[in-house]
Amino acid sequence: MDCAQIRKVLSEYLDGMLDMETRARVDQHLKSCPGCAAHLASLKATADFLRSMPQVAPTDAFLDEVHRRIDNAGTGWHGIDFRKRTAFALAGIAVVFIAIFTVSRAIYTRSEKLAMVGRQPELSRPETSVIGHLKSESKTEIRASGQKPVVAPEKKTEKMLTLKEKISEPNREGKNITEQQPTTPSANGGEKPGPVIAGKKPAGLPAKEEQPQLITAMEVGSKPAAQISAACAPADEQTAHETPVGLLAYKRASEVQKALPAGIEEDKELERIIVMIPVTLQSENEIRMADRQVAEVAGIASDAEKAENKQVRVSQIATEKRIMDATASNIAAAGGKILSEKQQQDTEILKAVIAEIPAENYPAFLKTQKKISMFELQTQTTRGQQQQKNLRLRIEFKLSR
Amino acid sequence: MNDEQEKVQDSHVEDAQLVRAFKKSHDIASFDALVIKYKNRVFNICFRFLGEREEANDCAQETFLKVYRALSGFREEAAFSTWLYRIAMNTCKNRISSREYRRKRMTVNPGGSENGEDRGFEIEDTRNSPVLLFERSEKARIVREAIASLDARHRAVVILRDIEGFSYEEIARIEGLNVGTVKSRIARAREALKEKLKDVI
Repeated sequence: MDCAQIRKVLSEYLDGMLDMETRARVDQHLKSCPGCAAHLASLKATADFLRSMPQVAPTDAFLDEVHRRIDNAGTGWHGIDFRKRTAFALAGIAVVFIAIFTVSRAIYTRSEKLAMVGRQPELSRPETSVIGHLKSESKTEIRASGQKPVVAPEKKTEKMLTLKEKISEPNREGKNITEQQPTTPSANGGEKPGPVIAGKKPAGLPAKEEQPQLITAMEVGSKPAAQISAACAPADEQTAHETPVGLLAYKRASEVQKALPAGIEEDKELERIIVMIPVTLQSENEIRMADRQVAEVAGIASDAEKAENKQVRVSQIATEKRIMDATASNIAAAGGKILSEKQQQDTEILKAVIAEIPAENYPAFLKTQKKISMFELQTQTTRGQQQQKNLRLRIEFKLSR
Repeated sequence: MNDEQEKVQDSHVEDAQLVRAFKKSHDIASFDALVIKYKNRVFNICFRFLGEREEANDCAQETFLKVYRALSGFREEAAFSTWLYRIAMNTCKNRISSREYRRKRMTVNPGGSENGEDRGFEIEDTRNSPVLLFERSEKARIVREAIASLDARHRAVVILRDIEGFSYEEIARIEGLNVGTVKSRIARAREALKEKLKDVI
């Protein structure tokens, strides 16, 4: 190899990229050629010099600036889509909505229904508990609803199941949820058929005009007026059941009012109260549980059902505690600290944990936290100038299947 | 597998977890963790490539913005870091081509003022640290100009190799080249830099 050939491969030689044979030849040549040796030394000095250049760092606000740009650039489908999806995910995962509707007699006429549905205010409020807060919520809702027939379109887009509760006369014995509608496959896209809940038809239903009618909760943006209208028409009940979108229970207002805490002003015009608990129900057990809970809120649960509800709550609290302990230990293991814990209003059930952990430990934390399979982890970061090295997490808990 | 390889492997696994967490539930914290993990390296690459902090900052941010937008569709055929650096490199290359265009049009000196370009930016060390002094030194200017004299293709490989310390194989993956091309580009870039830097080395 002559000098020109040698110099062509000196860069690779420097990096140890030559095969043994070529390397040996270069070694041999360098021993006898001071020019090429000097060339190599100079190349090495250049590479070393470049390597010695200091690392520079971006500004502390880098992450914030990235997010600002993401937010500003959020006009494309990516941004909008993501934000929507985040909102839906948060709403869907952490929150169960409870809404109480009051419906006046006026709703019985179809034309009025059609006319009113579109302009009624939305009453559903996010609430994380399934059932425990219904009473505290109900006060607000009833007042808000006043005497108007109100139908609150449900915001959540996920499919839900309908559960129809037909309540017989107020003093009828054996207050129970008497009829539940078979449902069609819903959120699970037909993987499994919607649970069919056995129920018995109440004997001696009230006269037809007094019978409560089914109003099915609708997905927002899916022509609620028309659908509710259709659902309200007795002839169309079957259709409504074929597209189950809500867990619905209702009973006569007089009964519900009895079940409400004292202090709520009685609304003479109140015909019925509809308790709607949109949930994603997957198993028959969950259906039954929701069913029992609805019954309890509606004041028609048997003692056995109440006992079962209590048992569920107790076990839920125990599970929450177990999850919380595991989470706390995960946070500690990741070198983080819990800043605050948030419990569901009026319950011992844990709703969220706010924790701060060093960013570099986040992946490890995520890994361990995900092993807590029963619960989903939702995190949000709070970014600030001074918090670049720590991620502030909000971990929300929700029963997952 | 030696320790270094194991570390790299662990890092890839960790990245993949974060990527999947983001893809699955748009876990912003995972994205943030990736930004925090890679921001210095990406910024450094951009800074060496462009020679200006402001441009580098902008370019690094743009890189992460692109990552954010594309992450859901990232098919994980390559390691996340490889993909990230490729985006960073392409962003830098696009930037210089548009800057050169601008320079031709507006005859603006892209180097800017030596003091002015650091204003408003912080680096890891304090104000009187050797790092900052170095950055402001004549040497730094010469290095910047030497690197800026290379065309984008050669600039990319020499920055990745000699400043960032990537292996030939990794550079080939980032740049989408075969290793042979990487070898010859590195050799040429070093030869060119050797000449430009001989006074300061």
